[in-house]
Amino acid sequence: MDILGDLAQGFAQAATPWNLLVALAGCIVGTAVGVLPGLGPTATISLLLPISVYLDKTSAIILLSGIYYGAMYGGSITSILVKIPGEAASVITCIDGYQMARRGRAGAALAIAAFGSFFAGIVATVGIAIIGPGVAEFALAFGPIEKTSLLILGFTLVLGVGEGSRIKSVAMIGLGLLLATVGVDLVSGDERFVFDIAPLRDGFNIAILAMGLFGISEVLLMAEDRDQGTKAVQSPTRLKELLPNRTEIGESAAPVVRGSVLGFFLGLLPGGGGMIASFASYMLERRISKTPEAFGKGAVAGVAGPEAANNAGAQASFVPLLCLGIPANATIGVIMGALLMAGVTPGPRLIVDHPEMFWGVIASMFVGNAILVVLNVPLVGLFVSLLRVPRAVMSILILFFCVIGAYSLNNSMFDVAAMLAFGVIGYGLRKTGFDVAPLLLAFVLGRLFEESLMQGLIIGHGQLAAFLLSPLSAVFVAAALLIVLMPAVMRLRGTPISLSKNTE
Amino acid sequence: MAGAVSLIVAATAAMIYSLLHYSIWSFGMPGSGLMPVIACAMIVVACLWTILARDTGERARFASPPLAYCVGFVAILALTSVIGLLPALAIVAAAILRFEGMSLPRSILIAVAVALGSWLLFERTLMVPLPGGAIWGS
Repeated sequence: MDILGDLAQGFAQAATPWNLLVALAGCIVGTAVGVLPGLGPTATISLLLPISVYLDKTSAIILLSGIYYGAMYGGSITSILVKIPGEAASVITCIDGYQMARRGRAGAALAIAAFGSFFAGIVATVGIAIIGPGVAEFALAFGPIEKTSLLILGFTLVLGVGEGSRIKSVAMIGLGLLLATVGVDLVSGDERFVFDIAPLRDGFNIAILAMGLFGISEVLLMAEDRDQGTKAVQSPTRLKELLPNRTEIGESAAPVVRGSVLGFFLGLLPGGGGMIASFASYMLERRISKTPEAFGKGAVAGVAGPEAANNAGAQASFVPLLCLGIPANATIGVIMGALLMAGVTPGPRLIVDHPEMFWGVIASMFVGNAILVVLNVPLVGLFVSLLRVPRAVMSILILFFCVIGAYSLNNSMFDVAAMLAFGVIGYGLRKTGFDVAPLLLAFVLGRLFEESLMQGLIIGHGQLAAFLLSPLSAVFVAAALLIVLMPAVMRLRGTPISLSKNTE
Repeated sequence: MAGAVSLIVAATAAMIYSLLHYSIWSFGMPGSGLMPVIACAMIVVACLWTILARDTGERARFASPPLAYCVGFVAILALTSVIGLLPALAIVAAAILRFEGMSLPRSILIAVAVALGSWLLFERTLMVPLPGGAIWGS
């Protein structure tokens, strides 16, 4: 059967009143989960797994995937409004989205995020339908060696993220990698930096770091501005001011297209997903921008590109699951569990054995994205009205959500204490000119990186040359070297280089 | 400068601890101490470079209001074991709002309203078992 016929069959599945209702429920729950820090999509989908048993298998996956990409958008709302990334993939949106909100353009940032995500969703849906199964085989070429090299390239890209200087970003990447080592080493079984404290055996949760470094540290920075304590942040009141203007639409169009395509391909890689896609898009936009100095200060492209990439990556990460049976990340892993519970084994046979489910899920992605836009764009005004809350009250709200969110992860006050401690550390770092975004990104990538590095070295019998013998890996290493050495090359050519990114 | 120096001290301590407790390389394979040492080395070298290049880029001096918030954070942890998380948060929230210049009745009203909303959302709707403390816990 041709692709259009298959897709039509999928839409017939996804557009039944029951499945539309299920998709709506998934999107609403997902958005709420994304907004609330702590309760991530992985935990929520795990909690809803028993409910999915009572649904037929297609409806169950539509519900769970709706929660997944609903959470991706929900995480952006808090990133833009209060600088708390609801999801790891929303960390990048904090940088320019929050700055746009501070300039009174929160509504525009939210609308750009919504429309960008919608467009990316369409691109990803079409991409999955047309080339997904074929490209998924390419992803199989990614072993630990290739993944390690890709992550090294990722670290060099992280250098350009945030407000601080590159050399300070290196320090923050080091700190992120160090924090990622806390807990039991999966290869040797050694406990590292645990100091006989039981909760440290599992290491720090990403949400603990994100809420502390971004949310609590922001509360402390806001506290310095006591004159503003009982006053609200200036926010738009007219509908026209809530939506993006022509200039902003123009500035966001190309980044959304680029972010969608980049996010789709990065999402296909095992271990990829929205997180790597969003910061790769941010770096791409920053590098090709005519005004790179605007990034970190509320650049429209700094919101549009990563948001599109995040959503495209999140959807594309279904391809390794559906076509190869490889979960790209923890959330997809739980969805895989739901499939197995429903008696469906994801893998190359899925499209042959259960075509109605495969194409139904793909069509539901399109439907889910349409629901998210219809659901969220009219609510932009409501979300932005949060900014009218006086700063002191906003601080209290952030404190409540962060503390309860941290506690709800493991029902542990240790997590609350750690989150507050990271808040104070984040405040200190930001006050002394260190940007915390590279720290958080390195923390997320750190665990993946160490695991891949160890596996890669074991495969290569301890020889670093193994990373150059694989052609794909060699390309990534060369690209990373190029990025690192480019400033030195430019210096040799006589172009002045500064340690500060803002002056480059 | 203060931030860079603090990071150097912390990273050096972590590196020494790591070198003493974990192997970097064993049986021809990387050990569990490899990554911590790489990370610490990155921090130390980058911070030294920062100091030598006088790339401090620090913001204004530390102010005192955040210190009051930090006292509140410690109070949340201490009070939770006695009266539970939500009452502890409500008390600290009321104190912070009062500190920010809001009237006492309004501070209490807002703190209680937020605590009540949090209880409804997290404990009743999302079934998060918030700690009750020594008084209400049992």
